[in-house]
Amino acid sequence: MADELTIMEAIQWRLRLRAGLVEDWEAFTIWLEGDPGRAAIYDEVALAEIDADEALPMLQVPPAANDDHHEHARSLWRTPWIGALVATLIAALIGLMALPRLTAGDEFYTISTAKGEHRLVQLGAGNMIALNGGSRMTLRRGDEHFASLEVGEALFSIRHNEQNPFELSIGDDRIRDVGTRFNVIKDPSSVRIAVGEGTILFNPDGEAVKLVAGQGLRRIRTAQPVVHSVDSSAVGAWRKGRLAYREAPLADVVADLSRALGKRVSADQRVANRSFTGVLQIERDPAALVNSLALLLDLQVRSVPDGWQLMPRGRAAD
Amino acid sequence: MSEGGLAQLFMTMRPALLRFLLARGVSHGDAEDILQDLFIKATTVAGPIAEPKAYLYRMADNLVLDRSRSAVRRKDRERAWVEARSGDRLDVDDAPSPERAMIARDRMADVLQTLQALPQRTALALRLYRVEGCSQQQIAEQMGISLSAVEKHLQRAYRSMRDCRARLDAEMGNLQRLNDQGGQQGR
Repeated sequence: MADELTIMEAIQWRLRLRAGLVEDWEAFTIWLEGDPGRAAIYDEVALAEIDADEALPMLQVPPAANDDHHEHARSLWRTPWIGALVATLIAALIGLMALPRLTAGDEFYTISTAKGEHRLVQLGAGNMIALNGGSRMTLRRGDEHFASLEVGEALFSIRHNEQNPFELSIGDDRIRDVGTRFNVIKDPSSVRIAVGEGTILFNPDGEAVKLVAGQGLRRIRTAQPVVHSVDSSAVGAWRKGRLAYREAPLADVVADLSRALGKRVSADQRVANRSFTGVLQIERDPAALVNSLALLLDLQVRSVPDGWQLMPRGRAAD
Repeated sequence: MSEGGLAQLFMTMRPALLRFLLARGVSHGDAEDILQDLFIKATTVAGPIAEPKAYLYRMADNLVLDRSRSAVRRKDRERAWVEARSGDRLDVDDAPSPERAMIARDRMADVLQTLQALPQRTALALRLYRVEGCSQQQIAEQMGISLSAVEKHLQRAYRSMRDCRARLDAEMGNLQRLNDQGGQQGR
């Protein structure tokens, strides 16, 4: 029974109990016993506090007012905090947080993640970007319609805006969004895109390849992009600790594993093009995961500094 | 208080803690489990504790909250598993359905938006309280306001947070029912 009074009382109890003495806890017990509905309201308040604890580190803090060196930056940062004019940057779900480093002056800024770290970035009111580990992205202050993925993997959830569509740049390639959820992986030599919902345009001013939900695209270096089908429900599954593949080259799989595990996982060039179909659960012990992948593909694992290399079976490590 | 002392104190406080857990809405069986966990924790606590009785209450309360949270997670997992099993493709994992992924994303986004929508001073008080770990007295000093003003800020922040959580829980409940109905029709 969520009446106003009960809610306010539950909140007061939660605040009081943080530094509560035994007498407070005894009085709290009596309050709970007064109405069986009160426990559930207190639960809501306490769980909401836990939600907030998870979210608070991701919110930008306006720098201290007495920090002269960041006078200009401060005025820029403060605006999103007030929540008025500028797209607001929020970051980081899991792992260690760091405020985004300012690069290229004030206008552009970079967000990067360590391997194994995830961050969540909110861009404006409707756009969310989840950044996988080992990734780097550039955003423009005050512009919620632009992002650039330099390297790594990100899942984009974009609200369609007819007048001002969201545009993502990936090296020399561009994606224009038409209201959608899509995943992008940028490695030094390739770009991989998978669309979970909606539609995107790949290089709208060039090839203008239209991709709909359940389609993906792969471009290696400057070769022609190749469109293939993907499991739309598995797009962005890395956020849940799952990597799903359908006939993917092993080189892609190990690149994803490196990002996810925070380890250096590689494939010997003789097996880099082996095809893999299946699902990897990355919450497991990294070594066990790499070993099971090797087992599935009948490969051998070699330990290298800070990671593993997958090799053809029966060859001496060279 | 020494380690053995806390375990001993636990034994004398056991009836009061049981009463607290039952008032907290926990079933009798679960309350016994929680007390068992609590006893083990009480015997392994290192270092002195200032208010050992309040400490035991707080640990009990945290264990109840842990259970509430993992119950929600378990429900999510079971649902994901059932959906994965009802699919016919082997390569489809138990990834979240698009709707559920959307809900999860919206949940986080909603919490963030709720926090962002707080008035600036309220948000500052909340940050000092939860992130910096300041007491209400310290916040009052730092912000140059009265203790009751700090309380008002925190109450307002908690009210928004709780309303956000209640709204999302209600939406999740609706989705669950929708899924259950869908599953039945499919059979």
